[in-house]
Amino acid sequence: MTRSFVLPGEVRAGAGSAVLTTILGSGVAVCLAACDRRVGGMAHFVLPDGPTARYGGGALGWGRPAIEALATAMLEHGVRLSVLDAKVFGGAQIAQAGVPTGLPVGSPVGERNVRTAIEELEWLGIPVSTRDTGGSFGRKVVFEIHTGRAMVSEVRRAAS
Amino acid sequence: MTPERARPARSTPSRRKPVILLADDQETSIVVAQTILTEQGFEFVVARDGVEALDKARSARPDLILLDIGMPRLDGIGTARALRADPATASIPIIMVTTRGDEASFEQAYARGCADYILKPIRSEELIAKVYSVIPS
Repeated sequence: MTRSFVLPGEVRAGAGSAVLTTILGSGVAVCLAACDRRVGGMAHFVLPDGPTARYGGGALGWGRPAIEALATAMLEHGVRLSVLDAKVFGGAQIAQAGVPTGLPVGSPVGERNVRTAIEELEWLGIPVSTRDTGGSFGRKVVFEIHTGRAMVSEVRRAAS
Repeated sequence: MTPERARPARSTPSRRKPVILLADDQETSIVVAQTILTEQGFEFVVARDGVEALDKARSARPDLILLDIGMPRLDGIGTARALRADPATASIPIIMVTTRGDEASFEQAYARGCADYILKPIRSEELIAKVYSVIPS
């Protein structure tokens, strides 16, 4: 079984026995699966949508283009959007308590990433069956394409 | 009705500019980050390796540390661990900024309490969004 690590700004999709993994901070992973067809994929983006901005050579670091690219990949595998199931993970705010200035922290990009994912999936008509978002910790996601199952674990702070 | 009088000028304490510690042995990376963030009104302290980063973090008490992983003397993971272990620096947010795109590096960074992770080459939109995510705008 192949196992691939999905980097921020990447979209991967495939069919058959394969596992996609990623590690998230404020970024969000959207997993789409059509279990009966053993087709699925993952988009890992780091920024909410912006009007004209682009991420490096492409746009996949941004929520809306990344999710659209993943949905397109599903269509190319012969799967209709109406049979897809979505899972959304990440969007943490991991800034430590007690920021030295004592002022409130700025605009949390993680929260905006999650909102973008939910809105885009709603626009595409893809229901979200599982959501594990927010919090103040990193997450490791292991997504099985062939079953559509996703295992999420907290990246625990090392003791020292 | 008494006309409103101009209030005497009060000396309000000026809010200092947020300070960012850039810890990276690659000059290009420092220049890129400074160029992007100078426009946002930040001030900078620079360190070229992990040991220097620890010293500068203790003396300058920055609001945020942008930390490379691949640095001489002490790498970014070891530096993050030492920063977290020192009460004087334990609460300073750290964003890892690195070329390391492997799963283990991501996992180690978050396990050492990093607030976020940015893959080089640095994109201005991502850097600005993540910096403002952890320090006041």
